[in-house]
Amino acid sequence: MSSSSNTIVQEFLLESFENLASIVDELTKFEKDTSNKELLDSIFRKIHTLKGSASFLGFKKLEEITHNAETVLDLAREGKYKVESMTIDTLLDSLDSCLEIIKNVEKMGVECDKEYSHINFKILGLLEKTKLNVNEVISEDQIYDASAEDVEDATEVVDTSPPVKKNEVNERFEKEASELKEAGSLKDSVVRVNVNLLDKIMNCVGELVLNRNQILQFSNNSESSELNRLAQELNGITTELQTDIMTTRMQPVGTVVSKFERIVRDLSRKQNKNIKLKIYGSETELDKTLLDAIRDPLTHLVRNAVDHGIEKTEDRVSKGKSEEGLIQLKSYHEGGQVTIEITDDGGGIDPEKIKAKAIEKGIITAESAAKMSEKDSFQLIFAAGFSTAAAVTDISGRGVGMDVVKTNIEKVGGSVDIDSTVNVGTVLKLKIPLTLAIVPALMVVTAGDVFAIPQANLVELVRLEEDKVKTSVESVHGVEFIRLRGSLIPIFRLDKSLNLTSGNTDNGVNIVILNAEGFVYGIIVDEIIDTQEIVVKPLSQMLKKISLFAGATILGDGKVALIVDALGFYHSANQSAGGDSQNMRNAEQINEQGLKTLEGEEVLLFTLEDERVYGIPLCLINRLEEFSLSSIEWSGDQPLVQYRGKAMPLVDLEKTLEINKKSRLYLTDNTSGVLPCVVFEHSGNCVGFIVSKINDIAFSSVDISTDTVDQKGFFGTTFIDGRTITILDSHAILMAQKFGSKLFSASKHDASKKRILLAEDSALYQRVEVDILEQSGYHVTLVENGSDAYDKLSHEEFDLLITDIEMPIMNGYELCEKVRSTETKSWKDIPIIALTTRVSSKDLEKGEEVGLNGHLKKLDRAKLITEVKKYI
Amino acid sequence: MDNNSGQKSGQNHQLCGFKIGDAYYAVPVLEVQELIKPQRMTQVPLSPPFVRGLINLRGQIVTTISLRRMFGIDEEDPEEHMNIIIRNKDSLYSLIVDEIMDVMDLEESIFESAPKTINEKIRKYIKGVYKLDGKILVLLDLAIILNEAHTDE
Repeated sequence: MSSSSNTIVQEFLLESFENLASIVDELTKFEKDTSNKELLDSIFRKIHTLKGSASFLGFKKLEEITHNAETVLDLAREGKYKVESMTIDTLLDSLDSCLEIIKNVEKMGVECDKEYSHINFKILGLLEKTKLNVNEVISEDQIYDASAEDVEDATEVVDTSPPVKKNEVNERFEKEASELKEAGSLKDSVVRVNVNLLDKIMNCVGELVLNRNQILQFSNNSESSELNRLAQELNGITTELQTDIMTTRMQPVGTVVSKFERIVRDLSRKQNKNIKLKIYGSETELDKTLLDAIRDPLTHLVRNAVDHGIEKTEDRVSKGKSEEGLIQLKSYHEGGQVTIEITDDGGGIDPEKIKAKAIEKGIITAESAAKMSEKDSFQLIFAAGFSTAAAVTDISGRGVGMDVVKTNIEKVGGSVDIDSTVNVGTVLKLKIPLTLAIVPALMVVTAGDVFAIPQANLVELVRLEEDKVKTSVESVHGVEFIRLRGSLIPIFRLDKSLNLTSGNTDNGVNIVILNAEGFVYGIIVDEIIDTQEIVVKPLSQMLKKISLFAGATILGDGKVALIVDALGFYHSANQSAGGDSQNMRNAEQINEQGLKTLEGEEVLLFTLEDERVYGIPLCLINRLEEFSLSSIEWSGDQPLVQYRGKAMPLVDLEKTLEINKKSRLYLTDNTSGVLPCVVFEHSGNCVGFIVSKINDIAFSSVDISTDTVDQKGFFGTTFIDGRTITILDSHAILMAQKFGSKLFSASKHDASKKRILLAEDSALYQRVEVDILEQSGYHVTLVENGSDAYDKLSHEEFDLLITDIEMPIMNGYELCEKVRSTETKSWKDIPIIALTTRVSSKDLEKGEEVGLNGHLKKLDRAKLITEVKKYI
Repeated sequence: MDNNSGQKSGQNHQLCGFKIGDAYYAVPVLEVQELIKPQRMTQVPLSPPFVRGLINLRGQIVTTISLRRMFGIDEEDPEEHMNIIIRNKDSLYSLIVDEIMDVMDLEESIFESAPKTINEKIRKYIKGVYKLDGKILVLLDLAIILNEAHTDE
């Protein structure tokens, strides 16, 4: 017998023992007051339940007896049969038989072999007496089944037994009770407790925990070893009690998920789908309150999986999948939480369709959609207003009320995560805390007061020392931000947000990074204490509307501390910081508009004399070398080194960028030192940039901001690993050198060269791409948008067109389409290569559609050259 | 909350009287859970000004209310004060008062509705007054006071 059906049998036994006992009780009461219809109804209901369970579990004998008893009771309810003492007697006898059967089930797992036909006969005999048509109630076979002996026996009982007396009933009752005890049955080991009482006990334990904390703190400051010992003992006992009482509130997830079998079955039938539901880990336990809270969201998700997840049978077959769809429900413990996973092997969710829908609904802009990762786009499903009934079928996805699902799960401190692959399926992960009343929280101090921040919202802690504060914290319209590994995070000062004045003398800042339903932000606090298990106490009605606080808790010293509600705080702080979610928009603006794209580029990082970190996109650099100071030669005031058989001019960056007027190269007394050098190659000529130290090659995950710098030689700034990196404009630096103009002019106006038309609007890429192409010996003509490119093509001859996709006036696709559709012109079939910052499969498709020959990622020097060589 | 509990127990009103400044106030004694001395308080940022803070009463959170601030009386509550603990809709509140008087058994006949002359700021919080020998006892309307945060603003 599987564990789940075992659980059902256990529950059945428990319920039946209880029901039988109370039926016996009620029957005897009913005997004294046969006019009590309520009592009769109650008895009938219990018998009916018993019959139902017996029939469900296949206990035939039990079913038969209870069925007959029910018949009698039903007639009595309708007033067609008059209950006499003998009726009660017979019914009690039949209940005894039921008890016998159930006990046997408990012991052996099956019904006993004993025949109960005489009981059945006896019950039906009652009806005979009233001359009612028994055949209506029971088939004749059953009557004949009863052996003659049984009949005789039964008749004897019926005839001779005197009306049941009260004391006899008592006796019977006592006998029953003692029998139950003897058997050491299930009933004895389980007590049903009212949930309210459990809640009350839970509350008391919560208070005890607080009291314990206070005593522990007190004893720690006390000399008395006896007190310490007692406190420790109290500590142990309290912890055990807390665990135990929490365990009593635990219920297996199975109580909720077992119902899904039916839901899935019914729904899939209705939709003509063939779906199998597999449930794993239904024994995983959760607090009852939480279980109740997730029932509806979970049901919703399962329905969705059936409804929208799994495809129609014919679609599945045409996709080459098995006809039968599979939905899996897994519950398991993970990291102090319970995870419930709903997996389907259905059609999955297409991120592009989601984005399109979200744009249409005005939830996101097209620009932010383009930047959105697949994972982020799935999150759109949970956005309020995303899903409507129409949207669902359109996007082959889930949607109806997903925002409600998310809100409900988050209300109990949980989270929902979604992942999906088109045509493979969708995984939804619900993470639920084990219990609500006691939560782990981070304790912080601001302005002398302690606040608790639920750990569920905690992302990380950041400490900025005094010198870092200036460089890492930026302020836009009075809202502060920090750069954290490339993302811009708004930060609020807890003291300011709460109108408190902090007497903090610490010049560094402690930032608690929180995630509240997707809003990531930081709170600056004076001090971080530690994490504690806190008991959440509700605030009074009067204070509930202050959404900043989720409640209060009592600290070890007996003082009250407020619990910060991460989402409420965010909204509140945001509002006071100037307009509803204004700063979030600010952040987006900075991220989206003020920055040119250098996303996901490898950057060589190096330091100069001023100790600051500079960067140059790696694709521009040919080699890194080290030269000893003594190897430097001079031609006038131009330093040179012998490199690959040629004299290579060196550029002293510090001097060019006016960081240090006096070049290190003149320090002749230090001739033993080495000079790290970044080598560029231009049209076969090498140039070396002298730097102080080559640090690293890093991956820049954010864009480069050109607004921040206007000094010549600097291209802009970017953020790598939380540091501001100044990106150098190597082209401008070279041009500033005396030999610079020679270097570049040499490559121009050579008629023999192949001509490339480059359409690119970003200044950085213009330089980089022109450099790459010219160095490879091509003649490059630059235009800034598709429209200009088209004009140029109609007037001049080119061998190749390289175009950016995102451009003003006319974008790359439009340009390509227009060129290809220019029937009469000879250049209609010119090879076209597109360059984009990101190449997705959708982009490639689109590119092919409009007639692109190649589609490349920007700033990939080697690939670009190879691709170009393919066509010219 | 039964607004009429002050009128119960026959024709007599059982009241818990207290003093704030020079004035005498009262609340129905049945509403009072207990009286406690000043406790360590935790302020609640961004709360209405009359909320003085939270105190820990045997593990339960009590919201402390300054009637002075609520009534717009421009003076601070004294250091030495008493707290009248009142339970309302599953929440506990504490009223800060200067001094507690005895429980009073007053006849309904001396109860009058609030005179029009009473300061408007205070009048909305009171149900009526009792005329005693040489002084007036103001009966507070707890339902209004404790729901202030909902009705106001």
